[in-house]
Amino acid sequence: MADHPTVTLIRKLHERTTAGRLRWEETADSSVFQAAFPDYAVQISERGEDYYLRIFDSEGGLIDDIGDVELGSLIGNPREALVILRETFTNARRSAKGLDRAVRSILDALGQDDNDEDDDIPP
Amino acid sequence: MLDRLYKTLDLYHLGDIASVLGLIVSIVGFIITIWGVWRSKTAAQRAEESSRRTHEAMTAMQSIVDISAVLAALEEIKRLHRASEWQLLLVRYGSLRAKLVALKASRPKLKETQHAVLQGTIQHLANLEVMVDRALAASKTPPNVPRLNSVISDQIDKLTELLTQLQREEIGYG
Repeated sequence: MADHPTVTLIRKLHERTTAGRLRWEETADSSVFQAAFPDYAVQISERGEDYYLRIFDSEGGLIDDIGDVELGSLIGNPREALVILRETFTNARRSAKGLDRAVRSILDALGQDDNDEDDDIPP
Repeated sequence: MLDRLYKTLDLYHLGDIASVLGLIVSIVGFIITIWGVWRSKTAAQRAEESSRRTHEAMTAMQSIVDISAVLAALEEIKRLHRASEWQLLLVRYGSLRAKLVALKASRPKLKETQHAVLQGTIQHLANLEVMVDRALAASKTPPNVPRLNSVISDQIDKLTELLTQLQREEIGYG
């Protein structure tokens, strides 16, 4: 049976976020991260031990707010729902804070230093 | 007299020559007519193309003016955050959000990534409006001004990048 459209959306967001192919940004609330699309925006948030995904329309109005409990009912697997939203949240935070970019940049710089040192070694 | 004329025409096939010449004149006339029609059509097309380009250039210029105004309004919002002018801020969030919604709707030719930047700012302003409204309703001071201003500064950076892209495209029209 085909997934509910919201489930398909959450799976896609999880996949893109995990692959680092979706840019998230910080919001005024430190436990909420946001990704904007041409006509909509989504937010992933952590409230206590629960995770929520909210979808907004083009004027910023809330369309849907789905938590891991509700997602668990939709996919028939509460554990998987929690993992999907938790991983999306964790990776969204990494994206918003630019952690992966920072790590790559530092590693590049360290690699460059190694190459420079190698260049100093006489053949 | 007429007999001599007929004989001369017959002798030199002048009738045939006249027919051929008539045909040639007709063909040349037809070609000139077609060319005239084609030329007027291409002139009309050129005028239409020129008008379209002018309209696009003016729209792009208006986008630049509008986004510059949005940037100034966001800077003003940062100042109002520092001054804790929350009631005034609620008005500013709403009016700027409405302006951005109108700007986005009137520029369908912007790229998807550019629309997403505008959508992101619209959403942040909506979030701030709800956050401040709730805090004021609960008689609390909206928290963490530096964080609010950090979010606004990020949006200013993104919109400045968008403005630079549009300015570069505008130069391309020249």
